[in-house]
Amino acid sequence: MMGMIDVFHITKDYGCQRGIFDVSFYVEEGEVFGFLGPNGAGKTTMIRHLMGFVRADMGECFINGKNCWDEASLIQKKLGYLPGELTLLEYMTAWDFLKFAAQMRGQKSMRRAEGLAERFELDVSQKIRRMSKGTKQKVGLVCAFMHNPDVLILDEPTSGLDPLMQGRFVELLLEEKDMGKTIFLSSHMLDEIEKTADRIGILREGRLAAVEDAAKLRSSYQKTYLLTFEHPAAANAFQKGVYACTRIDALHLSARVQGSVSEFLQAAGQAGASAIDVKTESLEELFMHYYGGTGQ
Amino acid sequence: MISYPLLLQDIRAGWKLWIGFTAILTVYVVLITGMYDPDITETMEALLDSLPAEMLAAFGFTMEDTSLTGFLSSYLFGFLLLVLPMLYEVWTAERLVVSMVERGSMVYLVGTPNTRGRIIRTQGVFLAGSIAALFLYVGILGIAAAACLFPGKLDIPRFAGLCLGAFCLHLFLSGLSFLFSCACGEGKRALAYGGGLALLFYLFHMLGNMGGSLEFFQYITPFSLFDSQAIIRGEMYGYAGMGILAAAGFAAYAAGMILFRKRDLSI
Repeated sequence: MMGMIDVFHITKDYGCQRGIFDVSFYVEEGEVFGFLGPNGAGKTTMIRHLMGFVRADMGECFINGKNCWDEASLIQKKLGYLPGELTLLEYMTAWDFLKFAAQMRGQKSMRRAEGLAERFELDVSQKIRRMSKGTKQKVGLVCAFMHNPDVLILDEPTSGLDPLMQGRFVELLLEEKDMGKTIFLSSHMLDEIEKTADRIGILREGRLAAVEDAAKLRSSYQKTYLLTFEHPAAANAFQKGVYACTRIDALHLSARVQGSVSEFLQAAGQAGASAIDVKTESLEELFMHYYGGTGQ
Repeated sequence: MISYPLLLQDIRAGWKLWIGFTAILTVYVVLITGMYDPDITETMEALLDSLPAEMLAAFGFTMEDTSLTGFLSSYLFGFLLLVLPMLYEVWTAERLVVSMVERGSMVYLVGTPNTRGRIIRTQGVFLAGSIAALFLYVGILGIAAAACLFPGKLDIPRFAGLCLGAFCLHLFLSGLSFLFSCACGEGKRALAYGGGLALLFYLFHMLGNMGGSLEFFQYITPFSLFDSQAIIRGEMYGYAGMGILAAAGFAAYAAGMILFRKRDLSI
């Protein structure tokens, strides 16, 4: 055993290249582990193994030294889970649902649930059926955190949340991290997890392509900026500078920047750029750059 | 053994449906009991004679015994108390397990410190318990209706035996629905198998009742094990049938629970 979460050679073959194949990794106690992969790569399948919902064809996984399939109910005592596809009990109000979930855990106090609901500005008296996707997501988040678990497994946690709430979620996650919680985050967007993750595992077509330090991945993660200039001359001048640019038209340039952006922004400002737009790389583009062309 | 918060939740989510079925049964039980008239059984017989005997037999409307208990055994336990609870069972079994797996809300049951065994036992206890409550209610209602309308005419122990027998039959039928609900990944499929099989058994029962060359259908349907005439006459055969149904019912529930504990849940 190496860490809080240990995954050894998990294979689950659903046929037609679907499933996950020989996935191994570990997450240390107190670490935030980002699990990154495009839709359909097998992230949720991996999480179902950790939750003890499905049994692996081969391999085993453990949380806190307990077997995820055989001892699921023991693991669940200290685990908070947010499903990727949230299905709450629609006919209840948010509060009734949270109380039900608490009773299922044998949890008495609802103090933390109240605090979390306040934090996410969630009106708990509302019927879940009438809630928007984002509001349901808040209920799911409160439910995952309310019993103060040691391990959190969050499948696409910010989907449906507005930027303000995404910010609050990141705040909450960082607080939990400071408290020494072990957090497993899955996402199909690097942006969503780069702020919080220590290490990032990249899943591709059911196979774990890499596990990297988040900082290292971040530094190789390029962003493309679209610059608009008032005068073609200014655009010409900037294009001749230190940054590799592509001319779109007389007034627009596209620049690819690696690493620190502050210097770039300063240079662009000084050169007289009137507007800057960011075009974030897709995960596939990130792969291309990270693994050099072939994407393998 | 079971999760009480979940049982409470099952009751909160399911009482409306239960009350609905109970209300229909209430009307039916009172109406049928009221229809009994000890003095004009001859007129009744004349009326029944005018209808095709096979058709009446198919629906269980045969009267060998003209007492109130015999009358109820044919008209109450011959058709509606066989079919109506069946609908409740198929529906509820689907709602309790497979539909929660299919929709994904099962996450909030098994993704808690409760073992899968405990979750599925609770669902089974609710299904079987609500059917037991249904027949307990029908029994009390029937006795009360008879006491009001025809005091002293009902053989209460025999009538209670009929209710118990019908419950055993439904324990078995609900066990089948429960088994398919635990084993299937899709609600539609569980409904088709569990409901389809129950309906097929009932069809065999109807055909078997018609007698003649169709009599062999009696031997391939569990409905024959609930022999209301044998129960009224107090024959061992009637009680043995009940015992077999109850045992098979428990086995079906147990098999469903074992399958549920071992299966993959794509939730």
